Amino acid sequence: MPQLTGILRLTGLIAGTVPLVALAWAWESGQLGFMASEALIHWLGNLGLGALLLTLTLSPLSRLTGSHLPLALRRQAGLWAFVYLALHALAWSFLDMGGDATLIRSELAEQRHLQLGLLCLVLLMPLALTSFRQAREWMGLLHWLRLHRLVYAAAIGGVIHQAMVQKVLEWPTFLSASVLAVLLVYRVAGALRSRPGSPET
Amino acid sequence: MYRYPRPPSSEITPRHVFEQRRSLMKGMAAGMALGSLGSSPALMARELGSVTDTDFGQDLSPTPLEAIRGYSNFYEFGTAKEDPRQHAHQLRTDPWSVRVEGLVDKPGTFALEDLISRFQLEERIYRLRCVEAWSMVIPWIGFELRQLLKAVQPTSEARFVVFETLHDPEQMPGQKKDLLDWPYREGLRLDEAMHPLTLMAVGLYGDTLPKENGAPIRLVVPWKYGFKSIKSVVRIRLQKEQPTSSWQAVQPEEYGFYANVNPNVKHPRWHQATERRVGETGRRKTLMFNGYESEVADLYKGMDLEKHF
Repeated sequence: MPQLTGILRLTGLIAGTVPLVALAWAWESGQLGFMASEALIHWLGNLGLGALLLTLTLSPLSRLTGSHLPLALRRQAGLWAFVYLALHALAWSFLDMGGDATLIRSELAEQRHLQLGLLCLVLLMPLALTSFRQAREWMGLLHWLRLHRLVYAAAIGGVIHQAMVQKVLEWPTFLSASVLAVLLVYRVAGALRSRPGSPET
Repeated sequence: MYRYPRPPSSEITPRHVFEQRRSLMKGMAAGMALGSLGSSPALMARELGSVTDTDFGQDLSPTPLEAIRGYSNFYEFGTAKEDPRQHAHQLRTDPWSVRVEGLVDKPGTFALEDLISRFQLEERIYRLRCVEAWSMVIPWIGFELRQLLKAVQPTSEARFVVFETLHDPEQMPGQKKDLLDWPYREGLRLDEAMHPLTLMAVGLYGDTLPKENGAPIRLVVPWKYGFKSIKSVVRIRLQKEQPTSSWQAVQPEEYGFYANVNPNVKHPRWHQATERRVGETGRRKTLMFNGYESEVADLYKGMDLEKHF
């Protein structure tokens, strides 16, 4: 169904672009409240983590429905997650920290949630860089799959980071933690049934 | 001993002149946004009477009223910064009274009107520094808490003052959630409560307090993180034992009893050496005791502020 996957990928492109445009518009028109930079940083982080968790649901979704269609979106969703989370980190560095390298360093040295957030972003970098078909062919599927399991570490770290940032735990954390828990249970159960390391598509 | 300029009574501005000046200042501070807001009948329902126009904080430029009303932590109405503005209309502030009890010779229940008419109201322009590393400048109207405490005559046993917010989940829907052990509680050492900077605020920007800012009466302790300045107070109790405040009960390693603004004492969640002033870009250096060091440092002489954070 090449046409259908094409439509799906176009939809993904629009779905990833619209929030960015909306945020840019809200920023420009002062719709982000009295502390716009803080709101922007939170939106980018929550959307990025949401995209990351969505990426992880696509392969189980494909298995459960017996359709290959969700897989057509997997790379794009993962790249969107990386884009939003990279913007999240940049917005924090330049809008909250004012681009002050000394301040950024001292904050990173002291605050655990920032260390964890940065670690997760760093974990996602090789995944984004090797997300293209040529990279997968060059690496070999087995190595590629092993490397891309890092996405789970990044997602777990991301959910913990989100929880640490909140003063009291609220629905964004409950939502992302529940989704992550379901995915982990599904994956662990699957791994127990089949041999570990076997290709998953 | 701390002193601040007290104008002679000849300098007390008549109300109509004060209001003209205030509205002029409001207009300058907040721009045209205020024009559309106007004075709502709810805000004007209670008259504040004469307000002494002190020189306190005249060098600070107040944060626009819209930002003060639209960006606040008042978990009784929700945890988002804009929630109080949206939901605080459910609060009924009239009639209102404050019960003062515990280790005092003359306990009593004071109607808000009586407090307003009995104690001299003053305008005080104070910095407000939130533990979340943002800050504002607010032109409060209020009376010194020590005036009320002197009136009830604390006994020689009294060491601490405990404050409680109204507890009514029907009016304060945030209290239906189990976020904090309601009602919200805060406490001060008696000497902190008796300090001339410690204010019971009943208004801001020349008007009665907006509901989202803790109407009709709240505590303002400008050298402490904002969460100490408890809102919509219904009860004040003097006691011998040091109380546990609401945030302290939830996260004792993050929120201490003293909660003095201190750029040198680190917090696990927010950077405390600098702050973001709402309405400004960039960061400012956070001042020791929020800029009130010369006034309040004596209260903590010999104390390890890292330990008593």
